[in-house]
Amino acid sequence: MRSPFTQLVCLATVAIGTLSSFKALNFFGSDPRADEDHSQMIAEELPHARPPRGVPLTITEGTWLRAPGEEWIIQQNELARKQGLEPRFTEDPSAADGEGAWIDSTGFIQKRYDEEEDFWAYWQWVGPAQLTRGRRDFVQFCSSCHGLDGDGYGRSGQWLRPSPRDFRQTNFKFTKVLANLPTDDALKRLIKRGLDGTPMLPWDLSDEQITDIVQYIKSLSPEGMGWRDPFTGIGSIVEAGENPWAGRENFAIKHGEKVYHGVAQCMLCHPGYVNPRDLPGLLDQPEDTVYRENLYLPVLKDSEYEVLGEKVKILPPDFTFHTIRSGQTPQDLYETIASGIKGTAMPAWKGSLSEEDLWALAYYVQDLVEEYKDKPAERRGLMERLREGL
Amino acid sequence: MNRSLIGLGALLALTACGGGDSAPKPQKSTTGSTSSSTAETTTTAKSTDTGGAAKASGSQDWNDSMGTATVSGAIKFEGVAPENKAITMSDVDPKCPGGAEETILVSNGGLANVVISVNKGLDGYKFAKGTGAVNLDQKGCQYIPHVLAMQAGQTVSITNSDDTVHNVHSYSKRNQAFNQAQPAGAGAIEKKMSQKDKSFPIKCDMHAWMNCQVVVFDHPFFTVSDENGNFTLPKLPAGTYKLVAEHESLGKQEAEVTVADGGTETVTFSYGQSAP
Repeated sequence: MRSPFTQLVCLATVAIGTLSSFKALNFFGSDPRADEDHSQMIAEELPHARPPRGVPLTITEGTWLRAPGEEWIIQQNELARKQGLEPRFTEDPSAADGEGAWIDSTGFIQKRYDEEEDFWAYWQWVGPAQLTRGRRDFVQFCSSCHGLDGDGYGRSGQWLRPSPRDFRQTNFKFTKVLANLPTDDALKRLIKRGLDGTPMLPWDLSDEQITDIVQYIKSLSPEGMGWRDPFTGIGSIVEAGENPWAGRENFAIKHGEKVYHGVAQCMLCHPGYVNPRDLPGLLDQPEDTVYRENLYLPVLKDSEYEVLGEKVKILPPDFTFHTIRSGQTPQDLYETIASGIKGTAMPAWKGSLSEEDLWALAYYVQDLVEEYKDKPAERRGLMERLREGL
Repeated sequence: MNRSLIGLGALLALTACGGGDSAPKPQKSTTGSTSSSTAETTTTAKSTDTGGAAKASGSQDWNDSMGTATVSGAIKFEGVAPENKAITMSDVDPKCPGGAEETILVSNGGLANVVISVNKGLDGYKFAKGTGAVNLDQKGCQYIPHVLAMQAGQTVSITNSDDTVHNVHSYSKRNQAFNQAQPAGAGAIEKKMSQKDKSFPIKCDMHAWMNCQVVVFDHPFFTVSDENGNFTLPKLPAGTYKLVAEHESLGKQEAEVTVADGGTETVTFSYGQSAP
């Protein structure tokens, strides 16, 4: 249970956050981006909601950050072409003082050689003006929880569980990509959607603002980590493809129950939701097989994320009780299950289960949420049945 | 960013130096035209982007017939080996049979699962990327082998021989880390290890006792000590080398060894409970 105080802080945070997102532009008087020369305004360090005095808001140097490779660039161009748009990137061998680069409206991406590591990788140049805009919006909208320097120890954030992300750890859970790190678009979607059941709100900022914030967050990667790691992989959100159960949702739920307790054995970490007596049948085991204690509860698992220098343990959700963070539609759940949750015990299942099984799991989990979540009487009934093996 | 990132030469530059294995010819240029303080970088051209470029002029392409020397030896364990604790598995997953920890395996006074490799003395050679696949199996809810050494360019083929599900959670650094589920009957997970990588664990979060160590070298002179602690490094060229032995919990040891063409040298490493 959250303490009343924690709840109060959460509520206050939510209230402040919501207010600021709606009134985003008013705090600065007007949108500086509307001005022709806003770099001048940035230099003036505009009045801020509550910036502690002396907190620097201007970034004077640009930086190189890891970018997805050429395959992705070409994919982006093809995507645009399919939608009847101009290709997003143009290859220009004469760009960047003759070094050659892929250019789009936000800047350029180059294949560069890392001498120390003897390695080629794609890097994106992010200039100081954009980083400054991102930093300023970050301090305005994100720092109350994520900290003025993105360390996850903002004043409102220090009492929150789960802890707000420390961006210097470059560990992002709900990116829904198969690579280590998400593309900018994947991060932007996460910020726009927020994380349900946490004080991470859906942020109603302009696309430009979120783009700037994303660049700033990426730039918080320490040397050799995250977007400053030449070896890291960056991927787009996993594609859901066609739903094989469309029009047969009830069959999907039934099949999902079988997959959940059978081949995927989700109940090794999450709770089991069938009568323990039915399990041997689903798992093809002798009837008197004994399963783990408290099968109707989740099991605490290690994660790679640290708070105060200690690795945090994470409780896999009980879908009848906890709020699923990253969306509850079958498509959302498909994406989460398929791609896994980075830095946690939850693996990627795409490729390991058939598409039919993956979608069925998504339908089954959605059904658990619909049937029992926030329905205390129904849930109590289910739990009693499971506990007593009735 | 202070690290010297060298921009990819334009096509012109590539053509000019095309195919050359010669040392890079740095030339000053500036990058980052959007910046007020432009990053100072050096431009060069490379003939390949595999990261396997020549390190120094005069290095020659390695082939197996060039090595006729052998270093062999043993990893000793002094004193009484600790008991390997039994692992009860059935209370987590009734499909797992139970077993024992495998961190320190001693047999006949020899220590198994120590990675022995040549660390210094190979500067004169250029090694092609490794080829083929090495197997890492999950059997009886443990990894076989417990320590896997491989060469950059090789693929690790991870199989699941158990009638239960595992998740293969790799903590590799220079090669892509991953966490992939593998239910019973699922096909092998194939991961190419393109880069050398220091020893990293692969773990299963579903069965928390399951872990193994993988190390990836950028040359072919490495091996893992067998169950009696013995090892052999064949096909070495004549020379003086620094040999490194690394155990997952007992740490690293080094030794210098000189071998002549066709000769064999013996090296013994000694671990004990108080070793680093």
